[in-house]
Amino acid sequence: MKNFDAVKHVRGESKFVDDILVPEGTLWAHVAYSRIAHGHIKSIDCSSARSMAGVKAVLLAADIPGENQIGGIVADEPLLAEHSVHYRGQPFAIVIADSALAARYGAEAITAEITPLPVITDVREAFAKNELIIPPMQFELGDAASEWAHCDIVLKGTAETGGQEHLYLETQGAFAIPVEGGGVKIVSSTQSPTAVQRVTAKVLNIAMHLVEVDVPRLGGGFGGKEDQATQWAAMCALGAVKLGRPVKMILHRQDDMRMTGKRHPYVSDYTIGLKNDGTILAYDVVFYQNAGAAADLSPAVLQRTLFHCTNSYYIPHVKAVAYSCRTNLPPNTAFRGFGGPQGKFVIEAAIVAAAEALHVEPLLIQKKNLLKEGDEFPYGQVTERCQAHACWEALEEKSPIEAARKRASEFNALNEWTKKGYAVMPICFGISFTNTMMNQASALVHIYTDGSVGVSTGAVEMGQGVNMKILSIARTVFSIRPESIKLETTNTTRAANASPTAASTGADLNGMAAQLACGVLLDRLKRFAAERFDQPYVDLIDVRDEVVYNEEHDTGWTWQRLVAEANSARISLTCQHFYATPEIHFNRDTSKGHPFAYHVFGTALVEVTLDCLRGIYEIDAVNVVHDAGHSLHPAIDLSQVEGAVMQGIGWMTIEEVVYDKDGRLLTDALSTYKVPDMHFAPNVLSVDFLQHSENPLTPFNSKAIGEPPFMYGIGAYFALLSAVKAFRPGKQVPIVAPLTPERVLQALYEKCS
Amino acid sequence: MRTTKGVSRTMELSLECIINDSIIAETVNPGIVLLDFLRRHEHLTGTKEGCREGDCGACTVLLGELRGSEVVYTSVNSCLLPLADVQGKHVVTIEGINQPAELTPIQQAIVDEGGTQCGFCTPGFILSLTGYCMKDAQTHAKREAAQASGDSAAAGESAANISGVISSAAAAILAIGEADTIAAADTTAISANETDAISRADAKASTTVDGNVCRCTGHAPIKKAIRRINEYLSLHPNTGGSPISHLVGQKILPDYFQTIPSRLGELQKRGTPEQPFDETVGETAPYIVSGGTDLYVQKAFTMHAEPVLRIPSHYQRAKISESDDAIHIPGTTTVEDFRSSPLIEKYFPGLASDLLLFGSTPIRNRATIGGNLANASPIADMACLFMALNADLTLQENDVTRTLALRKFYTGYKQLAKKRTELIAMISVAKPGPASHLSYEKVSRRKYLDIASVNSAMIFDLHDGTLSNVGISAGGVGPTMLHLAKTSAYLNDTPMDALLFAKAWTIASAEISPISDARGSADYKRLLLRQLLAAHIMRCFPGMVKKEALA
Ligand SMILES: Cc1cc2nc3c(=O)[nH]c(=O)nc-3n(C[C@H](O)[C@H](O)[C@H](O)COP(=O)(O)OP(=O)(O)OC[C@H]3O[C@@H](n4cnc5c(N)ncnc54)[C@H](O)[C@@H]3O)c2cc1C
Ligand code: FES
Ligand code: FES
Repeated sequence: MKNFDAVKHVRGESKFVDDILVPEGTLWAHVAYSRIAHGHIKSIDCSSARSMAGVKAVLLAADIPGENQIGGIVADEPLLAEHSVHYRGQPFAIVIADSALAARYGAEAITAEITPLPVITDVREAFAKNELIIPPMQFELGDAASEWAHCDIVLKGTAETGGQEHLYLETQGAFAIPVEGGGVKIVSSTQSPTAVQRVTAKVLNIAMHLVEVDVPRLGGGFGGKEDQATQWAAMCALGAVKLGRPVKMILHRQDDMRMTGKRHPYVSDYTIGLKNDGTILAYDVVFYQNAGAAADLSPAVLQRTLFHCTNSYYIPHVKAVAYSCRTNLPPNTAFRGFGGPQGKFVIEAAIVAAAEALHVEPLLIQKKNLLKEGDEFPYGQVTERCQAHACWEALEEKSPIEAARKRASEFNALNEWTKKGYAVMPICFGISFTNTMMNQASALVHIYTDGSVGVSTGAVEMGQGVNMKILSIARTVFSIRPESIKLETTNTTRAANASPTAASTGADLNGMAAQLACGVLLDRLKRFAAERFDQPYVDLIDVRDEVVYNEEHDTGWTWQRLVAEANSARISLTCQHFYATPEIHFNRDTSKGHPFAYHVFGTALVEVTLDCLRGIYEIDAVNVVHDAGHSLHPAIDLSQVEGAVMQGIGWMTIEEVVYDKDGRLLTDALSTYKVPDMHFAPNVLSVDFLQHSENPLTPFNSKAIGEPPFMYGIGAYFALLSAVKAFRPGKQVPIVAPLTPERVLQALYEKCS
Repeated sequence: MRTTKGVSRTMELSLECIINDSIIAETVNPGIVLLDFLRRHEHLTGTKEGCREGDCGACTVLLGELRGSEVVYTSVNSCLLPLADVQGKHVVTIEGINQPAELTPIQQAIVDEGGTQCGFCTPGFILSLTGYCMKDAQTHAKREAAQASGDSAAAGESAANISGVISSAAAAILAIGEADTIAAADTTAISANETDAISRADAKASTTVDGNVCRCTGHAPIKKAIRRINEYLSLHPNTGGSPISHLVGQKILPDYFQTIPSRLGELQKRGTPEQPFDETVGETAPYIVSGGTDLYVQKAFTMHAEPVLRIPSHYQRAKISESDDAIHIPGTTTVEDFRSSPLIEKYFPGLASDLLLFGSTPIRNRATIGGNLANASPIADMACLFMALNADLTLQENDVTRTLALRKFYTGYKQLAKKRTELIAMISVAKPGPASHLSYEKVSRRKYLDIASVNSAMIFDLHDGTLSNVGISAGGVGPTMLHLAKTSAYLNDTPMDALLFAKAWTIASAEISPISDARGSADYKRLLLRQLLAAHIMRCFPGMVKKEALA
């Protein structure tokens, strides 16, 4: 089906927050933020800012009429710092002026006197000082402690993964317009309109119904606008209410990078025990999550790390403990995969280490321990419709792993300074919000008298194609031209109390709600037609391709006629429907339950070439077999997989977030933070979808697509590692991601003087 | 500096230009960037702001300039382009590409291949790819014209030139390969690689979107779209007409493009006012603004209010030339003009593909060599090159000129042996002899559109296994671009043998003082320089540096 959004995009006609014409008289806001990572605020001097040309107001914590609190899971984060600051980049004042530049100059003129306190950036140090955001979490299956004795080998190791900047191409931004009755209307680039609404109401001390949040579309989110789009919107709303004028804020890239959190860096210690034949018997892992200065979504991210700590493998004895550690960095937040990739990286590292010890290829251990139908996860759920083996085998057929091995070994025998490496990366990812209550959605569908249809849901379009997917659902139900259907902006007055568009569930949950709403409307229309055509059996009325049939005979009524007649007969052409995922539950005390509606599986083969003289590399090929169920829109899903793979590879290779010991972000611009570009993308990125994968819990047997393929990128790390080892056989290399050219060169050579 | 009143400059310019299909005649601040004018003033919101530092390409537009009877278009980052520089030119944004009803073949290819997700980067890609099609139609037209006039040499030459550019681009994209050219045995495998997946044209097109970043798609779908565009172009080649009318015929450009040459001609005839030369305000020394690709990054929020000294247009029109024993490069030469200069290709074959590692196409279209040298970055690529080549600078202020060796130009971190208002008018280098070899090495975190962690150039003459006239530069390992004078001297007139490298490195190692920063730790930079020096040597003496020597 034609992708209407894509057509708007290529013509530059899609309207993002900053593209919408604001009312005359709109003011601009700019944030003043801390340049110290930890300290007591002694004083804030706004006098020169207040006297600057164009500056209308400077707002501080004291100006907040309601609660100065934006924390979602834990109430530990002020909108504006008041007594102390906990990271560099923490906002403490908002300057409102008649131009963006005047607001910026004003913010730069504010000085804060801050008494510095010790700064912690290192997660182990935070743990040692007992700086924990929440009590530790633990998942357990079997009895790992007593299983070590039965293992032929037991290995211990450490694995680290770095942060990752979301780098949504559209930076954070919002504008707020004061409305009568003391309320505001906010247009925000957020994945979570409800969070914006809830927090703004709390900050302004008004009821939620006085806050309307509208989201046109996002220029990328990737999790970075799930919780961290809220504050900018709330600040605009605060300004709008205080000054009685619309207020807009669009973050400059550097400010965005400095003030917002990123993917959580992790340091993890593992012990793995295997039999000589490669069977994994036991796995013990401790995760130390660098949460940054406030909870944000860290507890939920931490939990997902545990959910995915055994990736796509069955391990009978597992003990996994996770600590969320407080440091003086910007609060880290959701990012595609949501802690899952961090968990999977460690088990892959453990398998690679075990393979080296057993002198076998890692893929032998991987394949031997792949999940089978009915296997139990450490959280008690058992696999259903498990596709782990099916994906692996389909990959072997598509792109024989043995051939890759041969390519690499032949190349490596011929070339002294250039080495090839490869790795296989299977994935298994659970779909549902792990917080069960969030698995709900609603849709509001209007049919207008000319037969055109408007669909509102709680889902936010951010490039993942949810609008097109829901459109295709509505079209399938109504059997009308897609041009007749429009997906509306996401708006809190049309979809109340919506969960964020996150956890890859956007199309599943909202699509289900839309399918149900459309179904109700169609049913209503068919009943009406049955009555008109004296047909006692409603099922014998059919609407196909905009034509109404009665017992397979064309009635002469078109869709438009049906709708118009129904309207004349005073039949409601509007339906609101709700959906909640059935069956899922999870007991937080026992860490057992059935948290996921289903799992997504897949396998990738990643091949790389390493220039061992310079330490630089190229990704040659990525071949994927991915389980997308019955795709709602194969073109969209394909592009999703391709994009996710590159983002995952970026995380593992060239994307490096660097803070200095004072908590200053060194990689605070696109000139220092590098994401994959045209040349970095492999020439072969080939994705096949697994055939015959059923999934009864979603619209038309589809499967969520957003996050799972990100984790194929992990294969790039281990492919590079194998190339390093081809140059330096047996060399012990610290397992630290990303494997930047710097880390590669330092793995290939000793320090030189 | 800024006063508490904020904006201090009062300079105004009567701007006359064409934006898409509309004539603009406005009084503007010439120091603001085009992006702001487009978005905030003209409400042309299809052009996006993703970074405001030339690194994402969301703001890409095409800038057309009348040359003779033709308008020549280049892609530029509107976020770094002073509005003054669009005077008398044609600015093309996505709104100016759209056809009323249908999509252009470029837009269609992006849609069909899933090359857009959120859409924020997309207009920038469309503009870059449209620029690519314009270039393609131009080269075709040139070749046809040469053939028609019976100038087979020119026809052949331009064809050869094209394939030269393409193959080096392809090589640069595909090859991690430099390492492979080092040891003879290593070459076999890459050529196999070269034949698969990407064709030469695809590589060339990829190069023109090297300044566009798409965070959503990861670029694989865009590569497929490029393949499709190239298929379209090869099915509809320009058979000699004007490139623009050809592209209009192919629905890649809207009709109005045909009217632009005469409309720009009229603007020119009326004589668009030149910007005042010296915008000195008060006692602050003005900034010389050239391409602006550095100034508008460093002073993004103040440049519009800073006093500037614009480079007179006769300097801007100067061309690269040669005398008996030297090549003379005007300071205003853009990196792209330098890269594609036949003279440079003649004396430094292969440099053109090395320089694909400099910035991106739109950056190279604007960045000047004078700006690169004056910028004084310790990792500036052109400084690296010219330091090794022992360039002489001609510095000029008013009518006074003087010559200074580049090796004496940098006196400390970002410190220059010149006044802020002294212009780098010319860069002169000795012509390389027949026995000369130039090797350029740059390693950055990402291979393309990234600033070097360490870079180094080495030039030398080679006679019977002995080096002479050695010049080695090293960037990223000291407060300025370094000339490794002692290492160069040591290698001079010394027969190359297996032990030489180790000794040379001991000397080089004492000449450098890297520090840790966002581009790498001090230890890494030291190690990396050693590797790059080894790479220089291995280019000419494969097998001379042993793996064991680099433990
Ligand atoms: C995205 C991006 C990528 C980049 N990539 C690279 C890269 O790969 N390698 C690299 O080396 N650099 C890179 N740069 C840096 C920059 O583009 C170059 O240094 C460029 O050559 C500067 O030239 P310009 O004409 O734009 O300078 P401007 O910004 O106009 O000026 C820079 C400085 O030089 C002075 N100046 C300019 N021209 C003259 C002159 N003729 N005489 C005297 N002083 C002068 C100015 O007063 C100013 O101080 C990059 C920049 C960006 C934004
Ligand atoms: S806005 Fe990113 S390159 Fe101009
Ligand atoms: S489509 Fe979102 S950045 Fe390219």
